Amino acid sequence: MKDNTDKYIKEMLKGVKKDLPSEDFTKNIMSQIVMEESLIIKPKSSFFSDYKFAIVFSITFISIFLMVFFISDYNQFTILNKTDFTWLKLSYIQIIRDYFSENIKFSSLNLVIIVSIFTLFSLDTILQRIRINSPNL
Amino acid sequence: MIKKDDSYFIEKVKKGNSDIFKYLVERHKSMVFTIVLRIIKNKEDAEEIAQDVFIKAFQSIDTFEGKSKFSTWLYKIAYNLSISKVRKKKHEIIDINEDLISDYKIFKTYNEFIKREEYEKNKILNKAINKLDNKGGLIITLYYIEEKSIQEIEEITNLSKSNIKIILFRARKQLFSILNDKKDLIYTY
Repeated sequence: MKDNTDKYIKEMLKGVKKDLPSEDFTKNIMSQIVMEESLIIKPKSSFFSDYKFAIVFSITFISIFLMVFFISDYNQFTILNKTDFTWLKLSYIQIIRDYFSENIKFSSLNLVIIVSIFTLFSLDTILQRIRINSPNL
Repeated sequence: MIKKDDSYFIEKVKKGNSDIFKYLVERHKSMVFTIVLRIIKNKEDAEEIAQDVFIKAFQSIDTFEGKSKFSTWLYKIAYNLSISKVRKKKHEIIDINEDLISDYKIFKTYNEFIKREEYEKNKILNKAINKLDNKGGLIITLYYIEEKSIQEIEEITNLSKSNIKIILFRARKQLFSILNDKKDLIYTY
């Protein structure tokens, strides 16, 4: 019985055409998609816009760092009395200098640049993470 | 012209070329519409829901990993959306007995029926399938018209294999009796 019914149904439905939606079905769908896409505000993806906050902070930080460094280690600013600013002396610079011997001829300025770049990227990473978690920033 | 596989269009859409999605719509609209219509049993509502199916598919296309066929994934969305719509808003199952009777009246004369196009035969068959319950009509369509395997029907509907077989058995029996009653209309070709 099952085989007969099955064969009968198969035969009857062979080649039957499915119901079709209206002619502008696809057009309606694509219009909706285009409309939805236009409503999505795509975030800016340029390097500088992503790092805006961090760059400002980093430039400020480096400026202060350089100023402190020169004040504490180089007696170029005759207006300022070095001894008054000894508490600002950054001892870690001295440690790094000692580590790099004269043979390498690694100048203090180069050290400052390297340390600053490292600090810049570290701070950027930290600030980016803070920004991701606090979207209001 | 070589017919491109669904995966070709899907990759393009995922990369941001949303306009390409229309090719997927064109390819699958008929089946999606049929699935929805079998469950909703109202053409106007089915069209609206079928559109929602494609919108939803587009929005979640990034989640399609290609583990199953795109058609299976799409039909699953169609099935789930239709069932949820039916649950939310109880659709009246249109009693199409009158339609079948009116067609019968039209085809009373043998000669009149012979002149009818294949279109009319399809109409009668589709109406007969629509007389079945939501799941029965759908499974008959997927099994006999779409020639989907039980496995594929299981993936689309999330029903168990045994459940599908039971529904198929009942629907087949019902359809047989409906079509048998109207065999004179259909067999005059």
